[in-house]
Amino acid sequence: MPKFLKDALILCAITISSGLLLGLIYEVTKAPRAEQEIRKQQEACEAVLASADTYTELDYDAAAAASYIEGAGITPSEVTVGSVMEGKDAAGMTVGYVITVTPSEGYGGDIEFTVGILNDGTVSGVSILSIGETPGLGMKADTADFLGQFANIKTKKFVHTKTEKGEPTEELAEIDAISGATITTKAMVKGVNAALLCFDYLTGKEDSAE
Amino acid sequence: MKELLLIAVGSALVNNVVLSQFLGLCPFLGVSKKTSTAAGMGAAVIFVITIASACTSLIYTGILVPLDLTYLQTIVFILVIAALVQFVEMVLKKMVPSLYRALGVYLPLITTNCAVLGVAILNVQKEYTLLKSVVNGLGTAVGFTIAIVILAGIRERIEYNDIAPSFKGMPIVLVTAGLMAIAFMGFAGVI
Amino acid sequence: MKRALERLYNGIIKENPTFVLMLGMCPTLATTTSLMNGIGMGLTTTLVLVLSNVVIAALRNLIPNGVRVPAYIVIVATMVTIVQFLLEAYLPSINDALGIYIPLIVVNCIILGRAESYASKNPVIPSLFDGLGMGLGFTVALSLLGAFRELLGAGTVLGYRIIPEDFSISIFVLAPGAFFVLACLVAVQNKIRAAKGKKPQEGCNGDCSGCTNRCGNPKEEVEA
Repeated sequence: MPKFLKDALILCAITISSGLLLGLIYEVTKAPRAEQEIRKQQEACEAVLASADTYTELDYDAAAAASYIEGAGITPSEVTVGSVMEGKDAAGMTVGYVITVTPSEGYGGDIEFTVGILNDGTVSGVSILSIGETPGLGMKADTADFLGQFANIKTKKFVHTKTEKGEPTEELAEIDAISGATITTKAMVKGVNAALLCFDYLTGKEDSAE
Repeated sequence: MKELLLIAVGSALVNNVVLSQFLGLCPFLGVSKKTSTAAGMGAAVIFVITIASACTSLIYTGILVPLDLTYLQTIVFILVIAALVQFVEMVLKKMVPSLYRALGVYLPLITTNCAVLGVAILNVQKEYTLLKSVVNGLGTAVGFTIAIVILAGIRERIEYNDIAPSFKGMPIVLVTAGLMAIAFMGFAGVI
Repeated sequence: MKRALERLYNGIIKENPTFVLMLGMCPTLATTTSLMNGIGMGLTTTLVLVLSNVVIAALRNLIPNGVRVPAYIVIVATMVTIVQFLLEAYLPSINDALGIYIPLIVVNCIILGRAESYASKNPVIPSLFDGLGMGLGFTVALSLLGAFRELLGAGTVLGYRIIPEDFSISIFVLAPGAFFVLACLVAVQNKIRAAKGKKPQEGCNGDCSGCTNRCGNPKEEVEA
């Protein structure tokens, strides 16, 4: 047998056995990896909508929701709305929704976060999944000080302010901007507003169906 | 079109591959003593990364996804890149000897340039289409070339400067790279 | 036993991959934004290094000389993917923090370098300790860099606040800070070397031969 053929065969054998080994390990770790993925999602949901016990992914018309949100002034290129989880209590009643939104206009690009909204439209919490803003400035968005401002407020729309913030009303609530990171603040506020609009769309549709 | 332009500018300047993502540092620090060699390395990297982005993107969407073998991506990509570099070298040697003479010495170094594999994996992670992958690859490689040529230019000038003995050699080059990284941070927020 | 200790000493101190050999710069700078990330990356690389060294040493008489570099690449890539699966399954936080730099361990010069210069010529046990020593040396370097950057940039170490927030210099957590801290650490090392009467650190500075020799130059070796 020519030497190069033998070399090639051995290399092939090594590659194939590597592939098989990988396939095996892939199968073995498949269950725990899927479990971690689910646990991560559960934890993200619990962080923003603690009053629910179980969370199930809601099947909704994403395109229609996006056009509804666009109709209200936030385009898909500004904020994309991802998966929506429906939170249910122990009795199986819906207590609220966890909406994943990704505003793309942060200083460092996309910021992905979840917004929990209770049935009556009150924001129950905001939690960041991934963020790549400037440390010390935009990264302050991922602190309880900033995110806490959204919690337990029932309003139609959030806006940011650089001065003393006023009392929130049904129509409008103000959020203190992060100093030195207005772009990040704007992106975050826009993302929460998109989640509120998505919630409007979801609940509005249910009402009309009844 | 606007999106492609954003990807190109983003990968070349804003998220510069060497100065903000730290990929391809070995050649960046190693082959930047002279502007001419730095430019040669840059050209070779542009050539290989662009082709590699196209190949890996095609293989991923055409073979790995349909066969549900996406978990083999690392091993497949690195083999494709290694084979591709060999292949490019052979083709250049036969077809374009002048280009081979200019880039030949840099080609073998590129297999272990993590920017190539890095771009391939990032393309997959960001779910780029073939066209977007190629644009992203080209942008990244141009960003690499810009960075390495600038560093080489600066190094030629600091060669004869009076530098504290402990900082001679690698440390001063690292400081230079750090200052460049600060300058490139100015591009953040452009897109 | 003596040989094992000698290998560990060699990897951690005498031929420390980061400070002495200047290998594997990309993960060194990219993943050391905090001490925890530095340790995570260091230990992940150590695991890959030990596994690939053992497998390559075990197969060293089987792998033909002509195709050894591609064979090493396949073996290393396999080990990296296995480690990645394990991290995803059991330590997802480390996997999330290190992201793309885990698959990129494949092209880390240290691993192919050790395969080429040690594991391909030595039995399994010494190769195991060689991998362990080199990996720990890498971990020590990454931890040092991570600790300095976290302390200066965020004012914390392992999340515990040491310097008040108002005095932290966030540039050190950003990309440029990585270069500055590494520059200072290498300069300190040069100072120590100078005190011992040795030449300053050159690294793979210059013709990059330090890198090519150790990373393996596929062209020459495949054709050889």
